[in-house]
Amino acid sequence: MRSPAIPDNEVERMRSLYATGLLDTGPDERFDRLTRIARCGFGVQIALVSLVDRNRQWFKSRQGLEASETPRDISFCGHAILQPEVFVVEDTLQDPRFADNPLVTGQPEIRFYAGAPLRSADGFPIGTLCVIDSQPRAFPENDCQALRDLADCVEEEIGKNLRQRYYRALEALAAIRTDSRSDLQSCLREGLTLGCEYLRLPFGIISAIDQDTYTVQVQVSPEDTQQDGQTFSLASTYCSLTLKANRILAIDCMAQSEYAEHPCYRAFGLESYIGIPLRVGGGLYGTLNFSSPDSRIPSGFIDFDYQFVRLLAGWVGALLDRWEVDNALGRLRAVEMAVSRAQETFINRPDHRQAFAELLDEILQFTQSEYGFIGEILKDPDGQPYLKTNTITNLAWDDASRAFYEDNIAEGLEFRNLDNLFGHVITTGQSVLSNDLPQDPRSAGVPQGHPIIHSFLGLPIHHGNRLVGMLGLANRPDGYLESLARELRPLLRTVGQLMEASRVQRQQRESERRLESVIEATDIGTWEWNVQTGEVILNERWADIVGYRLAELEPLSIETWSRLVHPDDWVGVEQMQRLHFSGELPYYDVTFRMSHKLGDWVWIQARGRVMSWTDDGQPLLMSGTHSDISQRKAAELKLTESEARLRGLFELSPVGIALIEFGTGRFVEVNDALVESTGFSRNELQGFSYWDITPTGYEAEDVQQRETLLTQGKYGPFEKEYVRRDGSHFPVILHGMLIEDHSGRRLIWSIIEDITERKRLATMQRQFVSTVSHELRTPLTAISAALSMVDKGVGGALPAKAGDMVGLALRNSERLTDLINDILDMEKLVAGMMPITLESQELEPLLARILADNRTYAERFGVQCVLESSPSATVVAVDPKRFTQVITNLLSNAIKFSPADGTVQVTISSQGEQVRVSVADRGEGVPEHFHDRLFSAFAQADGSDSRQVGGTGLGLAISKQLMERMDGVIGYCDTPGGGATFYVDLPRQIIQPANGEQEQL
Amino acid sequence: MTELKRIMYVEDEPDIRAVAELALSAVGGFEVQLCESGEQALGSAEAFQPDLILLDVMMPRLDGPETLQALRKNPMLASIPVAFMTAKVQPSEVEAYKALGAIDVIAKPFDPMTLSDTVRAIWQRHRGE
Repeated sequence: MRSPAIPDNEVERMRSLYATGLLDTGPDERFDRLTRIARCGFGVQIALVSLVDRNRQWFKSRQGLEASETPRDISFCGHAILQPEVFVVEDTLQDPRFADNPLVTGQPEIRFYAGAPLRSADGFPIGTLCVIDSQPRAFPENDCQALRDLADCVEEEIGKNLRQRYYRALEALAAIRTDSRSDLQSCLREGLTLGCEYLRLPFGIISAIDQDTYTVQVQVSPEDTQQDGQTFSLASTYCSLTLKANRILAIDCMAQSEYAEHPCYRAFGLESYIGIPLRVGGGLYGTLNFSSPDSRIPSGFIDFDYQFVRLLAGWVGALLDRWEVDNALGRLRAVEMAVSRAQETFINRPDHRQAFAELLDEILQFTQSEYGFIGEILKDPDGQPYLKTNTITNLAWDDASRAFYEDNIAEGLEFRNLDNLFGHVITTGQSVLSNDLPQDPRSAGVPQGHPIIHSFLGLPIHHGNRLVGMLGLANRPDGYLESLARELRPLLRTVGQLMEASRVQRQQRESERRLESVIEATDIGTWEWNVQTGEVILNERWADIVGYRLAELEPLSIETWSRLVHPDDWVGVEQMQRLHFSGELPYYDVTFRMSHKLGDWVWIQARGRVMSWTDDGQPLLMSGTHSDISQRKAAELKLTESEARLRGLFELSPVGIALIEFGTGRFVEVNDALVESTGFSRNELQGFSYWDITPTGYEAEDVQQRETLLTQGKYGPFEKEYVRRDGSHFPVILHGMLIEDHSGRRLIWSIIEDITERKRLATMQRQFVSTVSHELRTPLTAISAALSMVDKGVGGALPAKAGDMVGLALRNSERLTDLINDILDMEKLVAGMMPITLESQELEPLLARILADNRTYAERFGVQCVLESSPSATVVAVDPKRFTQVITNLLSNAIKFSPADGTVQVTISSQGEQVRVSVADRGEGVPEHFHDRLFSAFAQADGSDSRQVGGTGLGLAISKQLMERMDGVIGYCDTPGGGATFYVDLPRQIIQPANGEQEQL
Repeated sequence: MTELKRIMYVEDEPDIRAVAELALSAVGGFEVQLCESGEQALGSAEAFQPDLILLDVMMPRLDGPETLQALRKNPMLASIPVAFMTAKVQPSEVEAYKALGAIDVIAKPFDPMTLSDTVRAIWQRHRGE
């Protein structure tokens, strides 16, 4: 006897056999029907469906045989499965392989065997449909074909069996009540249980995977060895492999697989596993997986298992999807509710802080957060952003923080430290999510005692593209998910809008408040006009401007106004309205007159704009202001007049006037007089700076005058020259002042007087005086000389009466000579033509000489001149001739005014650094009222005096000029005890002793 | 020392000439020749041989300084001392006249009673040098 060989693909064949699930199952009419047909059809004693197991053949269906199984090594079927064709043994006794087979030699005494191999759904020969008889018989080809056909029917039923099981499982799955009334968790658990049963694996899990976290959502396990909600690190589960493969992954025996080193295998020792990624709403959700500590050998996971797991995954996915959608919808509804409640609160409550607080409460509730805040992001003056809370959960933990909270909550807490989780949101505008806060490097700056924050979600709040605030949430028991952040987006958008609205409203309130105070302060009348109905609203001031009380003007309508407008101004008003209503002008701004109650006209400036329009584009409401600009109008008018007057003065002034830019010296404006003086055209002149027309040599003076201008605001008068267009120079006297125009530009108003003519006249006058004087002097010389000689008897003795008359003539000719000399001196002094040469002179001898020279004259008046000698020598710097002239003048005056036999006292005295020479007489003195005119030209105290005492009236004036030229001073005081004292003061010169004397000292 | 005797007085103004003649001759006792112009002086000086010539500065045509220059060009007359008589007696003017060769300047108007003394003093200063 020969035992059947083991086929090469025995492992796979066995898996396929096991997968059929037929072994050791009860009788099945489907197979029995076919074996009965075979037994009857072929007219044999036995017909079997035999499945070739590892060590036996087991009969799924048998006709005519009692035994349910026989050992494989004596089986005929073991041989039959080794070939694809029908295996026929027509006479066992004739076949050495079977002749001594116990089944041949003993019961059931097999003489004939024909077996058609049965292939499993995946093509492995798992057994046979065989017919057996105790008589040898022929089994021709057509019989073989018939047997084959029947075997195909059996194969069909075997496959049907797997499918049936599969479909039953699916039916069961479909039967799980997945409607909304049952809860998702139990639905999923039922599905998992079904899966476990179908796959014959003890563990089934639906996991959610977020980043690296593997969370058991629902599980089925023996005696609840696992719990829902457990979390693992993704890497420590087989699902990491599934996700990596991104498809269904099945492992029959982990120990023999490439994953034997996987941490999950080492941790849990699960040998078999089948898992598939779960997709929900287009995104990865987690996995569906089944596993067992037993290996799935020999059957392993077969095609139907894969199919089933795929289907189940689809089912779970759909369920989760619906659930997620429901959940999200629920949350979104909550968000929506919160949004609408927030909006409602904002609209109904003026106190936005309260509204923000309510909103935060809602957010805390549906995000299951413990703490939270909503805050605005503002900027400090340095541009540094900071957070100011609109509302915040009170998490004060000690007295200090409680006090801080109480003190600041009304105004909002301010967070300026950006080196923390808030700061990250504020500075980056990105959200922050941390579920392991104590380890998070961004969670700096939490003060001591602060309640522990273990999870935190910080979300930026935008309005448009602008970051306006942030929402902070903390301590959600399950931690925060990105999906929550996503779901809060619409809420955040609303919060952003509310924040903006709140800000705008704050601003509006502020500007309204300002506007009110401005209106109050500026005395502005306000009006509101319904253009369509003609109704108006006016304030008290509106009426006040035109002299009424508002009550007096009632009933108010647009007529109230139009009645009062000056008829001549209507055209302008209507034109302005047209332009504004048509949109050509954004504002209505017009000036017109209104009739005042007292009968005069008030100038009004009206400003306004259309605030709203009707649906068909007509102006509806318009509002604006009235301001009384009568005074301004009057002032404008006055200004215009005064401008015109000044302009006239400027234009018509015979004196040159120029407006000069201080910085550049450029002529900005010049008048006709200046244009005429210079010979340049106005345009030419306005292209120049004053330096361009100043000849060289005046630089130093110009610089000095500019300095004066800067320090004192004005300069001059000073004399300089300008260059005319023809190159000639002309003299001018300049003075001016510094002004600033409205733009702050510094300008000089300069008066530029052309003094060419004046100079010419002065020269002419001097020449005239000089000429006349000289011309007078020549004949006078002759007269005086002749009279003098006659008087002295040169022409012979004269009768006494004639002598008197000659003397009279002589005195008068001398007076005339003096007068002419004085006029010439004065003219020279005024013209600066009197040469003065200072020399060091010892004073006393000089005075003694002058006294001596005047002795004759004094004697004529019977007056004695006395010089009081001084103890020490005094030296002064004088022009001896001119000093002599001064002292002589004083002496002659003193002599003339002294009484007969009087004395004129000349004294040298010291006045500090000055030396004083006094000439004192005992005459009548000078009346007080005349003191201040003493040294003016042609001044004499009494017009009659000159005739009595002689003198030209120029002497003192000349003396004063001369003394000034010699650095001296001339003055007058009364002589103690009566009389006049004239004095001159001169600087004392330090005497340089000769060298020899110095050595002696 | 040569005594001053003969003085030529050149003056265009006849009245002044008359007064000066009186002052010099009647008061001073000099022998005086009067000339009414520079030309006349140049013409008669050789004949008169004056010890001193007094020249008015301001004269029509040939004025004082020009007359002096003309005198200096005539060898016969070049050594006769000349003094100017003028109203312009500023120190600078006086210096200018002296630079021309005048021995001194007499201020106009002069005192006829002291003119002779003045002239004599000038003469003596000149001779003393």
